[in-house]
Amino acid sequence: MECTLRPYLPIAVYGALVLGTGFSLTLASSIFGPRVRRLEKESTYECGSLPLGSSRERFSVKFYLVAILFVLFDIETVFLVPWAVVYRSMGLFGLLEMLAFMGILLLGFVYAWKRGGFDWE
Amino acid sequence: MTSITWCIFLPLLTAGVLLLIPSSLKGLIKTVSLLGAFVTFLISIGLVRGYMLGESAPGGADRVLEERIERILDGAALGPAYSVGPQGKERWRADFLTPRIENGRSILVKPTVFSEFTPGAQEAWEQAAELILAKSVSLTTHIKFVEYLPWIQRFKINYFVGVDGLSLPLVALTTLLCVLCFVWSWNIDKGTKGYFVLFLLLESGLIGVFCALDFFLFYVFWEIVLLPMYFLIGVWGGENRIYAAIKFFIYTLVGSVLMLVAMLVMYFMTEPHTFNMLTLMNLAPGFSPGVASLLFVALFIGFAIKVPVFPFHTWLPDAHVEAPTAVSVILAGVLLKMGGYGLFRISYPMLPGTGTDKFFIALIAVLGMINIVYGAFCALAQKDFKKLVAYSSVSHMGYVLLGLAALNHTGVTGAVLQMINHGVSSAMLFLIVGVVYDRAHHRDLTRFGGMALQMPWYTGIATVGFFASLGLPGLNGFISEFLCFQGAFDFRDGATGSLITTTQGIHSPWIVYVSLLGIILAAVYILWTIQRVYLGEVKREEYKRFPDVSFREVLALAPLGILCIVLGVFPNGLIEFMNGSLTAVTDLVRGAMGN
Amino acid sequence: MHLLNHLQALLTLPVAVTAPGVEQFRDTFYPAIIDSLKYFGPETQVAVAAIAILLLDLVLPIQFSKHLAWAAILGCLAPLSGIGHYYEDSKSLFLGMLVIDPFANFFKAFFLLGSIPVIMLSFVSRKLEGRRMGEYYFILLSSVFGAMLMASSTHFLTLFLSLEILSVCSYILVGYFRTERKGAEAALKYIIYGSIAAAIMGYGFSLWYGMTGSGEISSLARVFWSPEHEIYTERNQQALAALTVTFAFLFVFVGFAYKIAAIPMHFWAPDVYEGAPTVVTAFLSVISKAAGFAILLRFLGGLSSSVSGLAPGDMAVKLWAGVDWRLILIVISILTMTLGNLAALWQTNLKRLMAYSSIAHAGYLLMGLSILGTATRYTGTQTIAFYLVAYLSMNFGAFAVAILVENRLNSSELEDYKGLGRRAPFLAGALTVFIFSLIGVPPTAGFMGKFHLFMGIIDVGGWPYYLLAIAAAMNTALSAYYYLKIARVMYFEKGSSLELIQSSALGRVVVVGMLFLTFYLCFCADSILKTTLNLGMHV
Repeated sequence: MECTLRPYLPIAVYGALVLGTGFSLTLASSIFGPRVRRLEKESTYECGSLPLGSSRERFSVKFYLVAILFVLFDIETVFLVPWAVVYRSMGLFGLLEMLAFMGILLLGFVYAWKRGGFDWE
Repeated sequence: MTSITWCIFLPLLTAGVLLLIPSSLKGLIKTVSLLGAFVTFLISIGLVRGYMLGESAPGGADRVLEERIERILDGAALGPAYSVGPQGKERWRADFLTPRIENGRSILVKPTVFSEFTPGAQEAWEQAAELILAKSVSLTTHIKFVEYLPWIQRFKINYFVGVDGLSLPLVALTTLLCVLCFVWSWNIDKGTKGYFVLFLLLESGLIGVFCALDFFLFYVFWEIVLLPMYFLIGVWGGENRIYAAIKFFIYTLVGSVLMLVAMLVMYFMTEPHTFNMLTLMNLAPGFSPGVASLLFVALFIGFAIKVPVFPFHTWLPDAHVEAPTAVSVILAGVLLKMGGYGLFRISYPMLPGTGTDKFFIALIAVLGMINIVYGAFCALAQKDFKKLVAYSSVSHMGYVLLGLAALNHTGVTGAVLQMINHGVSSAMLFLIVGVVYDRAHHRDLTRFGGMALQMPWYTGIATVGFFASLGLPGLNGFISEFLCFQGAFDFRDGATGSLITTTQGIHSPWIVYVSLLGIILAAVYILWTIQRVYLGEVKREEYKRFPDVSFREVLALAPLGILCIVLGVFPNGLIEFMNGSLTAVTDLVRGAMGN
Repeated sequence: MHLLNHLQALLTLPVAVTAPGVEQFRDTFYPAIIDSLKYFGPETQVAVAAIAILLLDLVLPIQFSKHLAWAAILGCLAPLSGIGHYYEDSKSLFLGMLVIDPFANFFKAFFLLGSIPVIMLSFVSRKLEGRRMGEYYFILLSSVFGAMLMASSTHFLTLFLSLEILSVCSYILVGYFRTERKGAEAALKYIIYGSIAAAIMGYGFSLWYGMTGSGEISSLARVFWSPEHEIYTERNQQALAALTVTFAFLFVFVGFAYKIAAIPMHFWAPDVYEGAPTVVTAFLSVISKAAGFAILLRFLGGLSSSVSGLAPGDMAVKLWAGVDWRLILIVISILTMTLGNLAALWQTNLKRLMAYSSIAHAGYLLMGLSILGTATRYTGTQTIAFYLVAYLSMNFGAFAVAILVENRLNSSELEDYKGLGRRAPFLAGALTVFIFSLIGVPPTAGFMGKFHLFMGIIDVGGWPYYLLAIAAAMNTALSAYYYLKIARVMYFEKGSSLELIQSSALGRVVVVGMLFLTFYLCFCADSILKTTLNLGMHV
């Protein structure tokens, strides 16, 4: 037991420290901190302007679509950047591979476009 | 295709033909089914006649197996040391395939040089060894009309069928009852096509069970019987048919899956692995007592549910009451015999050590006693005519157990004879109930009376059936019950002849004495029934309009009535017919007792 | 000018670069990957077919959209030639990520052939009529693609990815009718359970990786057998290492148990099966389950030392406190089948009943897993492969009838099956055969399958296996009750309507095909046994 877990001891200590600090600070501020309750203070923080109605309202499913499409093309970049860094060593093979990847993505893009994925209305 | 294969599959073939006939042509459907069943019956009679030739009957198991062994050895590469041709083959066989006799069993041990064989020779050895061990069982010489074809070779499952003196009478009984049932079912108008298709399927399954000599094949046929029965009760049955059908199915399925497990354990414990029932009769007796008794219990439960043995009997009255008349006939006449047949063909010859164990003999004798007495008391209490007959079946099947427990030649003969006689007489009783039910549309014993005045012919025929069931001398039931008791009363030691021993027979005479009560009780419930239904005044006005038995009904009843008398007066023909096989079976079991 | 230089540099290969490993990359990796592509043909074909269908749907008028089914069938048939060509090959692909061997090829063919009836039934299904079907068949083929990858994965990475491809596609298929409340609920439940299972499985993988230092399944055995990884010696048997192995084993099992709907990850099955479109239910209950078993076999096979070519030894790997992992599988198997059957007893909806029945069948199939690596003539792989083919025939058959009935009655409540024996004699008769096959009554495929499983466990012997055999036998009898309930309502009870139920020709073709297979597997079991025989050699 001692042989397998010994290396993890520092991690355990570190974890205990982090948790301990966090908890004790929160606890301390809730015990010692002064409390002044006012309406403005309790209301939603909207960058200084006055909040308009409840923040727990439903919003259109279209936002999700946009978000997902965004993530998709975002991921594309995640793959493109490392490839760009090593494209010299990957050579033609890398290029073809990336072209295939982009091609598939392009087909998806065409499909999403034609199906109206980018229309708001 | 040999005649036995025709006998098994002709009903199935007829069912296939029926499927092609439009369901509106009811007359044609009935005619074709009756024709199919009748030809099957003729084939089975042909088998019986052929079997009576004795030694020269066609398809003897020993010959067929020998041919098979030769063919296996012909096809195998036996190795360089053995010349190609019959001489090398004979030498190889003498070197590696000569069984050693030990305690009455033949034993073949894998040769020490087995690993040096070519793969072909290894396989040939395994296959041939299985058949040689099958051949060495004494019962083999009594099995005729054998057909042996490979089916699933990887597990050495074969289409191996044949009949002997034990199974052939049951096959003949099945085919006969099916013909009579088809005659009887002429008035079925609801879903005619389905009814006859299922009935024919049932017949195929039943004949298959009695003919199968491969355990796997036996199991397949055993299960095939379940399906049509379920639908026949469930669709064409009485008020409470759904409950009865599902109860029947689940009860029997529990039994058969236990049998499946036992079968597989036997397969893997034998070396070489085998499903061949004859080989198993040779190898399975060598199992250790502990394993053997567990297997025996599993198999016994499977068969006991079918028989049915107390306390597994509760499905029977329900199924009988709800089933249509013809289905009841098959249920009582043949289906119950499957359980008894299983005990004679599988449990006892394969596990004789357990069968002859003192505890198990006592257990089975006591169960038989309970069946006889409890069944009779239950019958006594019934108000429903059909339920009464159903419980009388429970009682009568108890004699089979009693004869079996005695484990001597007289007892075993009596038990098998009782199965056949009960098949005839209970089938007849259910038809008799059917006659009156078709007219009165109820079966309440308290509401009948005076049928003798109204339907004299019917009463005459019915009396034969009732007295046969009661065990009146001169009719068939008497002979078999007598033999069962004669066997059970034989408390002598087989070897020394001294009275009351510990090595054979039923040790506690009181079991037999109590069982004797059953005969008196049978007289009570049967005579009381006759009195309530047939004698006295005609209780209701409507009964006076009842016509006497129709030609169709006589056609179905008369052969059974005649059989009751014939088997009662000349039982010797049948006993002699079965004698060889039953002696072989008894010897197989008793062989284990001697050790 | 600058850009041109760049392009030129890009196209002149190889460029003299000083980065380490380039040589290796060029000389070993390229050829290996390009060589692998050759064997990757079947998967590529399915993927291409899927994308082609998606794009075709853009230009097709809506009334022709349903005929994309034929393209999908083509997409399932075309890869078979490639699979047949390399059937006997045994080769590691993509640097140890995938493998092709008869085992993988058998399952790939199974998924492809099994998808054909699903596609045909989708074509027939009235519920899917009048919609654009491009997306549907695209997702269906994608899930087949995922399943195929699962069968040939040999690395935790590909394993996880392929499992997720199949799962994500299944989520969409389950919730395909967005507007149906039950479907939406089913999809959500499926996703939540799926994510939890995937997370736990991922944790399991990480534990294995921590112990072996490799993601390859074949290196699993190193934990137990390799001399340089003496993490698992006798001395350590009770130690934390053994506990880690146990948890790693169980965590990974949880992920697979979710796919096959075994205890303790079975909760999703009833709701999902009921809520999903019936065709999708059929797909999930057979193809998805089979894929789960394929990967489970591969994973458990990895524990065997023979796979990794280390010192000989069987798979009697002891987990914490000396518990043989097979004992755990036996317990799970008994619990799964018993629970599935008990819960099915009270169901009144055919789809829900089939869901519990499919849990029970997962329990039966686990019997085959519990004999892996034991010295028997009939390997666990073989019994499972055979049972899966049998299960395909009877389950697809039953669902095909359910779909054809649903087309007319718009219901899968057993109540509405009353009197079906008269209203649709052929469908009712066929369903009866499938039911009896599901119970395991001869002469049907289900009986043969169960017979093999029983043979396998009884051959091993020992009291845990005998207990398992008895439990399975009793479960068979138990299951008869609810299966027979279906036959009962169809034949024994009178329906309110006597109107005949018409069914489409293509639907009947599927039913007849499954009927044929159901009987064929019983009477000609030898042929399929020969096919499955080889599989056991590889796992």
